[in-house]
Amino acid sequence: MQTQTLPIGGMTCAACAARVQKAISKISGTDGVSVNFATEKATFSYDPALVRLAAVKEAVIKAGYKVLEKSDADEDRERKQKEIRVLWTKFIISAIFALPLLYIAMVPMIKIVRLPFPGGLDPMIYPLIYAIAEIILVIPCIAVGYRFYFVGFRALIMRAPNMDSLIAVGTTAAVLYSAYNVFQITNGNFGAVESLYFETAGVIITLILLGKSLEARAKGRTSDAIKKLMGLAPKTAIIIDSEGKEREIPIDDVEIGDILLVKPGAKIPVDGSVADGHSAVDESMLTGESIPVDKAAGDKVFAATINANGILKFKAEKIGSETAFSQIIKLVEDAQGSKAPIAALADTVSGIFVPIVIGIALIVGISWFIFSNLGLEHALTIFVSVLVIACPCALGLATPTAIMVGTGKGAENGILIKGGEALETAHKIDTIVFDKTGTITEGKPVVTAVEGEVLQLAASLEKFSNHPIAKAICEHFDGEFLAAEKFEEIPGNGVSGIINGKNIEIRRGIKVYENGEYIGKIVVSDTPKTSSKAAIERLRSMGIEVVMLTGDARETAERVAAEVGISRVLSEVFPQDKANEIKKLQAEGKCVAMVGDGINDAPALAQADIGIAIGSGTDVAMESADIVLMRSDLRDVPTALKLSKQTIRNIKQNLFWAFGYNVVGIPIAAGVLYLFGGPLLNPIFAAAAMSLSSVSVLTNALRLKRFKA
Amino acid sequence: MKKLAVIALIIMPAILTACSQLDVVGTDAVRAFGEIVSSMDSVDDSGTWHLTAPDGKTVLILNDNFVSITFEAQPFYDAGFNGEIQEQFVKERGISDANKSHDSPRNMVEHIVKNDREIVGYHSALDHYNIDLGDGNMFEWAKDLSSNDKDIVFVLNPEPFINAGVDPNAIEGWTFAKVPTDNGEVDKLLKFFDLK
Repeated sequence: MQTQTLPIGGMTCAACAARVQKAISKISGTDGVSVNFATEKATFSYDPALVRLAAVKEAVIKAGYKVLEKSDADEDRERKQKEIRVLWTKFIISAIFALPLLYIAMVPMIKIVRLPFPGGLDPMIYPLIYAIAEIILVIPCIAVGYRFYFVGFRALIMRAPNMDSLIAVGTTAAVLYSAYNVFQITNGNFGAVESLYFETAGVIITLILLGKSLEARAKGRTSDAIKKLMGLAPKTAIIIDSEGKEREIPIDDVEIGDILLVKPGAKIPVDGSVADGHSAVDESMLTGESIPVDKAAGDKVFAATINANGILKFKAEKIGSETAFSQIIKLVEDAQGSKAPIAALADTVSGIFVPIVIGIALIVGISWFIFSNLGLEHALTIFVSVLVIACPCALGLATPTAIMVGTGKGAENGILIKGGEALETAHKIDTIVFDKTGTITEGKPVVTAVEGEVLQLAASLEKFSNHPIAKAICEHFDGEFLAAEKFEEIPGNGVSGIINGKNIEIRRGIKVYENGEYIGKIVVSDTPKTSSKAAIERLRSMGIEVVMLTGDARETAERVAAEVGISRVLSEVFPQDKANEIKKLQAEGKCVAMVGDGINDAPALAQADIGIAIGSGTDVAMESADIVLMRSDLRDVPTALKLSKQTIRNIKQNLFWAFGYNVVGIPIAAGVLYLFGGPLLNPIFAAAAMSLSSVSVLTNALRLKRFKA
Repeated sequence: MKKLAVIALIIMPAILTACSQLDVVGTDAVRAFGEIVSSMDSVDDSGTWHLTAPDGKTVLILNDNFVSITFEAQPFYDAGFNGEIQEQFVKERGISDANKSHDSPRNMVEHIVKNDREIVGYHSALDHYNIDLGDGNMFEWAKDLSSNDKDIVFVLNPEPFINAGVDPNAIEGWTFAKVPTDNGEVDKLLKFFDLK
């Protein structure tokens, strides 16, 4: 199976997203289809042996939507900016005509104040001229809002009505009924001038255009974080050619193996290894760490980081989408495009929402016409109001916008959340399990005491191991190594080998045995990170149980745990058993997050409800995790959980308002209040309320931008 | 600029013609008035037309310079009117000079429609046309004589009479009623006639 993301054009509401999702899901050979209305992207897996990508694109087009060309960030931004400009211009044009239309329609009805009114348009003196003036004013509104009719009626014909269908049907009903009354005026029925609803259509279109325009602006702001990240990407690189000459080339022309030069203050163009020179490099855009990192020959450098003071020559090793910087952007983009399980309800409702609303509008309108003596105008007013007030947009925007802002805010704080599901699960976490070495501690233990003559023996064996303790012993020993044979590392348990014909075994502890007999001990301490204690205190204050999981000896583990304030310690756990320990905690009914950095943590990270990897850790750990902390600062763990809680709360608020708005709005539009002596909702107010609902949901999502770590 | 002026000169008559074509109320009001006139007593007194209602006491007068209604004063005294004693009350409105060129009441209304268009209106609640005499007084006539039971209506603003001590419900021959208008319901004194 291959995963593919296609940018989709022409989606105007959540019902459209549901329609596209259904169209792709129907094709056999596709799986895991997710269409995001906020990011306007469809993500799915497909089996190239069973289905061609062209068939998927064809299905999308057949459903009435466009598959856009994949564009880079700048083109995408320009396209969206253009869309905002076009919508705003359309709104202004529509408003220029709709305002006088509303004025001439309303002023004759206002009894309290005598507002200025052109005598030549008095509906009781010149009804036909008045009607024609209304027609002249409504035509430009309909013209700029033609897309609602084009898309709406097409969707209706294809039996997949969307929000545009509601607007199209509602305003068309108002215009056709008004046109019929104009015909009545020409036939001498001048009283029909009181039944013109052209202003309803004009003002509804104007308000919806305003709503769409504000929505497009707000949607643009939800992806500010990713734009900020993308803006950091370098555009050119200085290559040193075979003749040793410097030449500036576009970033896309850099090839693996090229030797590149980075001057002080310049951005490092791609990932690579320093070949010559030394400098401090500001990696804060990747790690959030503000202190520049010293780089010399052999050190890795990363794209988009800034060379501070020296000149560096480095060999390009990863280019284009392979750089760490591109991977991070992709991670954030994927997360922003993903859906949280909480969105499922909104998606289901959005899919069936529009046909239900059209049904309700018809039933209610016909009922009022048949069972009341209030006439066709009253029934029509209710029919149009119900169609116009119902808003699937707010439902569709409720979840993805909050996820976009939430994950974007996380990225700004060096917290990469891999998807909506991770974001949603993180807020349920009640137990956090920390790996010890490299996670709670610096991961660079030092020898603090040696009992017996065992240092040379231990160092001679440990020099073959990559374990941090082994490195600490080797660093502590400054003598000559003895020749060792048959070195063997038992993960989580120690090392063994033969030195001078004797079987030497070093058990993690660190106890040294010669031919099975204990001969001494090396005491190694791994100091906790400065941030660990504060992070754990903060987690405990949030009511979260903190557990330490380590392969280290109980004594060492408990000492470190006590230092940072952890009371529950699971020590002497083999790497292969770490996942089982997580399972056991889950069996206790706990929702468990695992924080780790090493390859040995990967199974536990995958087993946990949420895996959190430290960015300085291994690639495997980061791939297994749901959340990656770009800094090695554990205080980002409570920050991630807090962000998750706030995002989910924001989603719930959005869904509450979106559902609540429709639950309350539709009955009011249907005339329930009027039935009990209350007011009847004018379709114009229905349109205003509808636009307001989408804007309010977006505004609420944007509040997350104020999140503070 | 000259070109624009020429174009405007060419277009203006067309627009004005179109507008007069679009004045459906004005055109039909004249037609309906013609039908009303044929059912009323109309007398030409040196260019002043008197159209008398079936009661013989309430009259619509059309002149080159004014349009008015006259009606018997006695019922108002009987209802408590305490003002200056008169035989008849007159409610009058000046119009653009017709220059003695009109030979029938219909033509005079046509003249009003052409020159004083703003005083001729349509009252949708009663399906009537009307000439606004000012101060809330009016003369109305049915758009469709065959289907309306109030073919002509003399409409008075009751307020000055009430202020002069009249009990509006006690005026013989007049009905005090709330009339639905485009500005909501208003109190009026009405005298209506079925000409059929």
